[in-house]
Amino acid sequence: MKATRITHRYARAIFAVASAAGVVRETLADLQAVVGYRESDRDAAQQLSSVLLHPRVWEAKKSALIDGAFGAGIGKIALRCLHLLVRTGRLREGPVIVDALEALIRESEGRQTALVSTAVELSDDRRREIVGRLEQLTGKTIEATFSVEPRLLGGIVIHLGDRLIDGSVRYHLDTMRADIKGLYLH
Amino acid sequence: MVLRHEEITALIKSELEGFRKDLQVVDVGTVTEVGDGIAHVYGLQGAMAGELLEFDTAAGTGEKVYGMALNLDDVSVGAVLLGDDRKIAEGCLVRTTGRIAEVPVGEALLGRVVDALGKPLDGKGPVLTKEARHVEVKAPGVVLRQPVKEPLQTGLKAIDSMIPIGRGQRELIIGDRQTGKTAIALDTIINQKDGDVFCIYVAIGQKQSTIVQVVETLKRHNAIDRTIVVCTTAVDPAPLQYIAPYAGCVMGEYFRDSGRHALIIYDDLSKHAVAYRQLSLLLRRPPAREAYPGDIFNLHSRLLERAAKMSEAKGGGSLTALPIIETQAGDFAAYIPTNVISITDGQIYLEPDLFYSGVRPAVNVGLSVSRVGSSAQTKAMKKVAARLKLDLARYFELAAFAQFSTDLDKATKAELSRGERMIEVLKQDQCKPLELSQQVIIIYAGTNGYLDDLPPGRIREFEAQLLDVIRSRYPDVLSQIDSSKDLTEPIVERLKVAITEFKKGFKA
Repeated sequence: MKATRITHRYARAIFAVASAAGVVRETLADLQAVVGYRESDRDAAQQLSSVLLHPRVWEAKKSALIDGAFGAGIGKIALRCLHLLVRTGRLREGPVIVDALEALIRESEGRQTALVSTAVELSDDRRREIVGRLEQLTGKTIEATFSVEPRLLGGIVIHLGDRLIDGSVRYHLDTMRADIKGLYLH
Repeated sequence: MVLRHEEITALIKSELEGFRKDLQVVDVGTVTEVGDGIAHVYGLQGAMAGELLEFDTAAGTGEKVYGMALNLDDVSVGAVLLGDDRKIAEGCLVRTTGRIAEVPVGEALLGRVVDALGKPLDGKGPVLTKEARHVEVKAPGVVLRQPVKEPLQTGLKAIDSMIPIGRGQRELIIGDRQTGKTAIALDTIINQKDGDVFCIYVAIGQKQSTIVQVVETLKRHNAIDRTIVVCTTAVDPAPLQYIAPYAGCVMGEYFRDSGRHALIIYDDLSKHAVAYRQLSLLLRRPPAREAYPGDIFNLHSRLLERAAKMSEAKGGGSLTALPIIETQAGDFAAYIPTNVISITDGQIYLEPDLFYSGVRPAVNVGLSVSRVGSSAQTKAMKKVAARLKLDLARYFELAAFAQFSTDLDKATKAELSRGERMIEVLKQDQCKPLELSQQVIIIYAGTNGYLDDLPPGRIREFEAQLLDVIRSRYPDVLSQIDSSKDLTEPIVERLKVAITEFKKGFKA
């Protein structure tokens, strides 16, 4: 799904309101529950979203539906959020907004996700070591996910938010191939 | 080129030995939208404007496509793709490279046909240059330049006599389709084949058949060896058409900056503007007049400003630019034509009416100017052609007026018949550039009344035969004009004798 400027603007607004009220985590959990609701309970979610996203269903009806489905279960800010998205017709971007909100919260709390890929399974000690080094490097709490990608052949690739640290054998081989071919741009 | 096995092995060996195991630390993003040569990338917070981006391809073959970051938004980056956009899919990884686009430059490119990235298209093997330079660089500043003063001979009588072009000048060639714009550019290239000027022909969004024709013409006249053809065709993606002139320019700057002379032809900048408009609109930049983006003027100025005559301290080299603009139905007051007219140091305006009435090159004398003017003209040409432009302009005025009256006084009649003959003199066949001396001789004959008693229909025949006679019987006149670039008294005397003598035989 596209992450546009608009979704970030919504996320920032929700973050500001929620942090003023001191319910950032709760709001995020609520919104994630709404998004997650749609994923766990397929049939109900599909029916609900087909109505909520249908252009010919009136706003009032959609709002009433939201009140009925989530009114009791989620906080005030999250609920108002959903109503706002209905009114502005941005419900479709909901999941992206929630993701952006999560990223904002993570950033404000000094946490950082990292995706660590290696060619072979790492031992727990190595994992701790890597996380420790990354925390040293970034000064943030690292939430690491580990994956095994045999395609890398060896070494390690770390996605740290928007940064990529590539020390894989695959990368070295690729650069070596390009150098030897003496290729220019292509 | 023949490479031996041992050499290849040695090369690979040295490459392997020198290989360092560095970590690659880059900013990455993911493609959120791709198509029409444009990609929107989420992330890439560290990307710089104009930076080269490396796109992973969807097929997973390790093949990369390169792009250029043009729009830096707060959460995403808009990039143009310099390769095939169909290989990239939503979600593909994009890396910054820390480089900006470069192309190879050097003598090895001479005689070659390359694309906008400097890759060969002519099947003659790789281009082995020692150097690569950035495509977008700043034009040399005021201190590094000097006024344009040396002539760049186009070999065309109409242009060298009335609209002289100097080395380092920017002279626009403007006209409707099929009025001989490319022909003028090609004649100028052909005229440089024995000189010290290197040529670059940049085809932007041209038909492939036209490009083949251009290359064949250059080959046929042995001019290809001093020429680089940078070629983007109409089917190439807009981003390639957009950087092609900058790529050609940097190849020319290589010669300019090493104290030599180069000539670059942009054929044509209207299509360049259209390509840039396409990618600007796709990047969602706001459209302005005629839907061109707001920076279209800057796009062309920063390109044409790079044509320059360098100061002696910088080697005194030069890069002359001949941009071409195609007008629609003679409308040279449209947006792009007026822009480029105001950027360049003059224009050669080609008119369809003249073209169809047989005046070729179809230069409209009244509307064509060279703002560098006679400081870029040889003394010899100045002496014979000083009044030519004014006289011809007056002829056109009189000719229009004379249509209404049958009774004309003697002086007017004389002026009309002189003008008619001068127009014949200035006609010239395609791909037959004349040396300075030959141009001077025939214009001298015209402006000094030697042709007044000949029927206009026979003037071109007269010219051909006169030049033949002078080449065989008075070669000293030619060589003296060519070496001194001046028309001194003794030469004039010799010339008078030659013309009078020849005329006797010609009339009979």
